Parts: sequence; C-alpha cells; structure tokens
Amino acid sequence: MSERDVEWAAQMRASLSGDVAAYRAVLASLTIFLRGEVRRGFARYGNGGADAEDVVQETLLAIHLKRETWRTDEPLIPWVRAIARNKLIDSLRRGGRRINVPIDDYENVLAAPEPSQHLSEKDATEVLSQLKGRQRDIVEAISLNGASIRETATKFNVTEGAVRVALHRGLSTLAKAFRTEDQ
Amino acid sequence: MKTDDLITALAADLPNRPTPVSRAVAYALATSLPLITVLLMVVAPPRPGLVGMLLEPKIIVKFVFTFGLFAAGLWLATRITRPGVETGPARYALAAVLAMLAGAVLIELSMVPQAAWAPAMLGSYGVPCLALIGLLSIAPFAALMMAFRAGAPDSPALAGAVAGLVAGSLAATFYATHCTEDSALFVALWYVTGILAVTALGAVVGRYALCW
Repeated sequence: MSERDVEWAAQMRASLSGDVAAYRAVLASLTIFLRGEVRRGFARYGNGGADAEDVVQETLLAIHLKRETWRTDEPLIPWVRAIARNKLIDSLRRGGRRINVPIDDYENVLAAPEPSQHLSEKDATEVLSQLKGRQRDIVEAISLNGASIRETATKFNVTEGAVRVALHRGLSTLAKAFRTEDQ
Repeated sequence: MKTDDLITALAADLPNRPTPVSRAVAYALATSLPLITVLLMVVAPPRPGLVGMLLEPKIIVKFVFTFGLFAAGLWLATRITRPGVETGPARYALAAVLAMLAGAVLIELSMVPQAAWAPAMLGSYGVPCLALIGLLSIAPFAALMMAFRAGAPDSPALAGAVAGLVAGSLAATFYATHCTEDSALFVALWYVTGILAVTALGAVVGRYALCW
C-alpha cells in the first residue's frame, strides 16, 4: 500500500464514522487523482476525453453512494480505480464506441496529457436540470450556494429531515441521470 | 455543476449512511425464509419420516448439494457485489459442491445396473420439481435482487446470476425436504435444471436491475 493510499484510506475511515472535514479532504484529493486516471483512460481508447469531468463527477457520486462496498481494512485506491474504470467504460459505451481494447496495452505507449487547469472550473454536463421542483431547489441550495442543512430547512420552511431525504434522493437521481444521458 | 459544488453536496449527505450489502442480504433472507416455509407447508409439506432418514447417504448428498450451493452462492455474493474484487476462493467452493454431486452420480452409476439409470434420472416428479423450485424461489429472488442493489458489481449480469443461484438453491433446499426421489441422477438432472433456470433469469434481470 502506498503512502498516499494509507493517508486516503485513513481519511475515508474517518469519513465513514462521520468526519465531514476528512470526507471533503479525501474527495478533493480523489478528484485530482481521478482526473489523471480518467484522462489516461480516455487516451487509451483514443478518445479526446471531452467527457472526462463528467466521468470524474459520476465516479465521485458512485464513491459516495456505494461507499459501504469499500472494506475499511483494504487499500482504497484499487477500489476507487475499479469504480472509475466501470464509469469510464459506461461513458465510452454511451458514446457508441466499441470496447475491445485490452485494458493495459496502451498504458506505456500514450503519454498522459498534462491536466489543464481550466478543466476543474468547467461545468460538467448540466445534470442538475434532471432534478425537479423542491428536490432541485434543495440540491442547488446546498451544492451551488453552500448552504447548510439547517439553513436550507429554514429557507424552504421544511424540517431538516426532509432536507436530508431530498438531498439524498437528489444525489441518487443525479447518478441515474449520468447513467442514462445520451442514450 | 462544478465538481467542488458536487463535493459540497456529497459532504452534506455524509450522515445518510447506505446499507451495506451484507446487511441488506441478511434482511432479504430474514423476510423470505418465513414466506418459503409457509409456502412449503401449504403446497409441498416435508415428507413423512424425513428426520429418521437424514443420515442416509443419498439424503445427505441432496442436502449437501443444495445447501452447499446456497452457501457458496452467499460467499460469492459478498465478493461479486463489490467493484474490482476477484471471486477468488468462493468460486472454488462452488466448483467443489458441483464436483461432490458429480462424484455421487459416478458412484451411483457404478452401483446401479444400466437398465435402472434412465428411470432413476427421469423419476416420476421431474416437472413438479422444476415448478416447485421456481415457485419457492420467487420470494428470495425478488428480495435478494433488491438487496444486491446496494452493491456496485463490475458485472451486473453476473451479480444477478449469483442472486438467482442463491435464491434457486435456497428454494431447492426447502423442496428437498418434500421430494421423495433421492437418486443423485435425479438431482443432477432436475434440481440442477431448476437452479440453473433461476440463475439464468437472475442474469437477465440483473443486467438491468443491478446497474449503478
């Protein structure tokens, strides 16, 4: 296990016991890691990687929604890679490309392009538009405006529990929207 | 949506812990077992004198086969529902159960005259055997498929097949308490066909139901 994995796995374990700061930190680190992984993945299939940030976001959502499938005594990075690989393949399939290239063949042939700085600021596909009504309002308030659960509850005059439920359902709907886009 | 905004939303959702697959599977079994038991009692009650026969080799083979498949299937389930995890030793457990039945078939073939092979294999209640394994597997099949949705399998179809295997072999274990045809040849033909059918259905359903 690499030093990096030890650190991220420790942060993820803390996250699973409710440490929000650790969770934000590990997701931020994983985002940078995933950008490289996904870009290399697209390059391997001769794809320009215009959808790379979509796949990064889709992978982050899957990491979040499926975090219980990681065993806390196992290394974190192979689990993250496996999720990213699944999401990358899904994305390539949606693009209608035939997937018959052995995974590791091109690893050493194609150098990974340097991640461009502006990419992190670019919006991924407007999946938020898939959400409807109050669910969308709540996800937007929390994600785009950075409101807390309590502030959001006050703003929309609902209980905090209702905000939590709407947020969770909204995130599940986003994951589904990524899965079915362009099909 | 920017990725940083997404992370903010994910962090806000952290207290909402998803159910682990193992717990979801435990709930699925806990809810479907009473249903199977009631169904069995109503439709196909256990044969009289079953308890006294439990140490007969043929009966042992039948139950070790069906329950062994169920146990190996559950073991496979814990691995196949996680991303990037090899099936590993669970696959060998499954192979061992199948090899055990193959061994029992060979022993029976060597002990029984050839003229008796076909009648023993076809039996008298082959089709009811299939129908009852199918009927008894409905509840665990549905419950396990829902439970597996908590997972993140690399191959949804394969995970669905495992859900079908677990449901089918659980149903077969219950059906075996009713069934009076104890030949390993009968088990190899009808039980295997019944369980395979549920497994194949699981693969088809899983392909759609277990995408994540």
